[in-house]
Amino acid sequence: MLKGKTVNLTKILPILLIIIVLAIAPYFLGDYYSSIVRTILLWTALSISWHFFSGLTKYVSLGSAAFFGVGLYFTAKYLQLSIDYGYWPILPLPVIVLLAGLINFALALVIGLVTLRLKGIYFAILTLGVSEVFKNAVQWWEIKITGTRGTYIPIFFDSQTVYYSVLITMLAILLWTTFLRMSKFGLALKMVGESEEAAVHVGVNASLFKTLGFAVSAMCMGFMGGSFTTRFTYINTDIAFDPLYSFLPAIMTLLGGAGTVYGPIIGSITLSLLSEYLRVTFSQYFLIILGLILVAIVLFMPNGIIGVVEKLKATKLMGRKELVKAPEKPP
Amino acid sequence: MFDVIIGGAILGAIFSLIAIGLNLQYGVTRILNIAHGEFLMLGAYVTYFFFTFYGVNPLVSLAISGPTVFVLGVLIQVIVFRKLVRLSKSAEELEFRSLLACFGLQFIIQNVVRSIFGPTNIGSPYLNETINVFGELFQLNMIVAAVMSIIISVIMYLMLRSTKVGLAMRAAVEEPTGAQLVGINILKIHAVSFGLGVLISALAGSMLSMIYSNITPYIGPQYTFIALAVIILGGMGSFIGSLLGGFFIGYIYYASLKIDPLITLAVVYAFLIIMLIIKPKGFFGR
Amino acid sequence: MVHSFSLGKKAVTKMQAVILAVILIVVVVAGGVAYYTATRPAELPAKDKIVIGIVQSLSGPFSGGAALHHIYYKWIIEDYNAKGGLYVPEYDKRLPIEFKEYDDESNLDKMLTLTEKIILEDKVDLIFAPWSTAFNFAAFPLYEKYHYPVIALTFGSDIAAEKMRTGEFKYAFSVLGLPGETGNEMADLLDYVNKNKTPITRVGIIYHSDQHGVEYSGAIFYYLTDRGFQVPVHQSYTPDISDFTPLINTLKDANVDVVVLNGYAEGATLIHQMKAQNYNPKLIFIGPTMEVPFLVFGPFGFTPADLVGVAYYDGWPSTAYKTGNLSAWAEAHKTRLGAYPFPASATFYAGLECLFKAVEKVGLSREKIRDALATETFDTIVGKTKLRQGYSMQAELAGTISQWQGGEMMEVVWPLEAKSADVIAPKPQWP
Repeated sequence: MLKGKTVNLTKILPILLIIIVLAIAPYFLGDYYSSIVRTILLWTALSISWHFFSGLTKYVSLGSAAFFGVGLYFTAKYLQLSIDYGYWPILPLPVIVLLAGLINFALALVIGLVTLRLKGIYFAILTLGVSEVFKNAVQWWEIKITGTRGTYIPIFFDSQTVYYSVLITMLAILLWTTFLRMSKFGLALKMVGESEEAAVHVGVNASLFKTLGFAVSAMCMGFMGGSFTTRFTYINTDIAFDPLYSFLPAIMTLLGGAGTVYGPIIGSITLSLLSEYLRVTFSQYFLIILGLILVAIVLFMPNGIIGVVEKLKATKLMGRKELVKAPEKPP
Repeated sequence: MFDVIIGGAILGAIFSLIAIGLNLQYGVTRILNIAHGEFLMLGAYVTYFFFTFYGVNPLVSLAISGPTVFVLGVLIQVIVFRKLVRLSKSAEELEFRSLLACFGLQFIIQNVVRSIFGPTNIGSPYLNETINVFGELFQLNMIVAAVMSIIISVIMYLMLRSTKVGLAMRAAVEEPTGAQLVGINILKIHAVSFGLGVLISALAGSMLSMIYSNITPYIGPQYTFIALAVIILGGMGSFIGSLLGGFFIGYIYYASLKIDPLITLAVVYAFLIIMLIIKPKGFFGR
Repeated sequence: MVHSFSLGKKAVTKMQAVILAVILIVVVVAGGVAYYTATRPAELPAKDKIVIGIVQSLSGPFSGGAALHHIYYKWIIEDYNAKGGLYVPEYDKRLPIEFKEYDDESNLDKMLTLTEKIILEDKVDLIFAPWSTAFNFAAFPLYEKYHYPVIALTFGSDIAAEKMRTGEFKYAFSVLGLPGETGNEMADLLDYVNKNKTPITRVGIIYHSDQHGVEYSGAIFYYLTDRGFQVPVHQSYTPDISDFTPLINTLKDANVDVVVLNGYAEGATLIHQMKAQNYNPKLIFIGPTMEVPFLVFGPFGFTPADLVGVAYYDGWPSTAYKTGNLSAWAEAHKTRLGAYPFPASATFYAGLECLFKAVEKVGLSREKIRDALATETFDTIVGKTKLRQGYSMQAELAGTISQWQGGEMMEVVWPLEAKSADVIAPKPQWP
């Protein structure tokens, strides 16, 4: 699948450097700043996962919270039931996280088969509804059947472990989605995004690829959810299925530049840092400012940061302030 | 048994009203305002403000909350959404961007209200007396709210049917290009529709604050969801669909309350999903 | 070279004697200085204030509830600053108190990150707890790791408290009555009412679907059935519910004597609708928010006459504000905050007082503060007060169950030794 594409060293080297810096960061950043970096890694991973499907196929999914939540909840529940109660065999955390991802894959396949028949706003609302249904269903089960509310996670993971779980998962997701995106699979998804009808005409099994793409995206979110369990000692459905996990990846991708490769990454980093700064500086009014910024982004930066950068590059290239003009007519 | 019939109808009337507002504005502008519930919440707070500090009767305050929110809605439509429509190169792009813009509005409105009024529960309790309807006891304010909702819905319907503005709106829904050709100022109609949509929402909010005292800046989303469920069931863009859909959802909600209060929301969402899967255009949709 | 130095002979020259004397003096003086500095305590770093870190839900769905305990944080800091600050023994003086406050937006992850911030970045001296059982419990491991003793005010979970009792969380201190304790108290009270006031056999429990609702209703169910009461209704509801009429009908049909609502502000809707339906059980128990005067007599639209007989199972130790010096505090509360205190107001204040008094006794060493909190009894506005990790606070002047009896503040009706008024049962008809 990667035949014919050489590995570009000048591109790989800076990425490797960044990875190394991230890997040793906790040792010289201390717990608090590592937390901030870790939060950025979390959102980057979720944005990349979301963008892999919704960015390429243009099917805007607002149900990310469902998959992240299932990943988080399943892992937490498994830890509780295996360690505290001994119902299930004790497994190492990475295995549980893997299971969480696979469960999400299966779940998304089923959901995708049913929902991917719709497009646009209908699909968005549907996925939002699915997310809420999951939350309410788990809650109902907890209260009615088990008589509990929320899950206590029996192991307290120290912050290094949390950081590295998140980092490793994020890198895995990045690698996996990049690999898939550069392959025929990614090409198929992109074709669906550009024109589903045309894709079908060319013989691409749009339904199959759409559903698989949705499932892969969900699986990655499940991995992330599972890894993030290490951060908590107690979670409940409101925490795990917080709608923020559905909306923010879309917002961050838009901020970075929807439809571009680096968009989700740039968007997540920018918004996370911006939020931290605003939260600390403006405390009371920070959310209002964030809302204003969001509206401003949608209005004035429709192509995100990358769009702005591209525009700057283009005007610089032409050496003029206006956009490219038609060439002058020959005399 | 009568309690279900009347209880469901009361809820249904209120749900219909909220949905009609959302439907009106979506039908004309094609922008799904997921901050619709926030305007409902604004209506409740305007009523609370005048009730608590000036002793204004909540029903009278409808005349204040409605127009205030209408003006706000028009302003928002002109400043934010008009530009969005111009910027977007396709319908999907417009949908996506307006969704996010509305999300931003949600943040802003919720937190501005919280900064001013604080986060604790408020209400404008009024007409809490009981009246006897067919042997079942109901709170007077709930009956009044339901009746007012139906009256407002009828007024809206008549407006859409008979007035020039109403006809222009309907034209904008059915034939946007044709409407422009006939000289209808589409921009103005969009603004007015959006304003009217949120005005209706605010009126519903004012009435709710008369009944319930657990109003907080965060009650918006649950009502937006219900309105969404209604218009998907009834069909986006259909007035009759919103009306009937509202009552249907009201009955489902009330019935689930009787059976198991824990699953009410889940049942509404389930209906939403099922509807989207089998008949996304809704029962009366175009 | 002249080597004529010998102590035995008189060959010691005058020069040499002087040198010797100088050396001796220097040695003695140096030794004295060294001894003096070694035995003197190390110079304390200059400190001119105490900083308290507060991570609160200032926005988001929890902000309404969080505001209710937040006011006591500010109040006690102001009270102490009015005296000049918190007395710190190591410095033998009062240091003014400042606080650093952050908004966790009702988000658990943010709360934990901000808690790390105040510990690692801002390096605060003390921490005031966040809102809600879930948040408190999630933060305990951090307090444990970094040795910050914290009074968890809004904490009420037996499952979590278990870990405090086993010593897993030595730095966390609970204050309010926990579900098991609450169930026990209610069973005792209903027993007493049954024997002395009016027969009680059947109880209906409806509860909010969150952690508080689930645990408290579960504990009450257990203790009541254990005591021989029947509980035919034990039903949960979701927070969005606005119409309790179906539930009220269920309760009516089940013929219950007592209705228990383990929930919050929706209790107001329940009572309004019970009134509307003319449904008057012998006793009604409501939950947090329904005991707060400025809410019930304000936005909830009740008058004191409306609520006579409505009891409150939570929020104890509760004090009757008409006793002793508490009435002055209640009046100060009214002047300062515009409304009379709710049952747990003094408890919150007293819990914080314990922390401050521990500092005034043992200083700023957090390990020592922790030990003091765990072992000592403090004098607070509710009398002699002792904190018990994993259990409710023991307070001299406080009881457990309160009831609205027509006044602007609740009366304490249980236990009998701590009551300020006799329990009213059956509840009178709605006005």
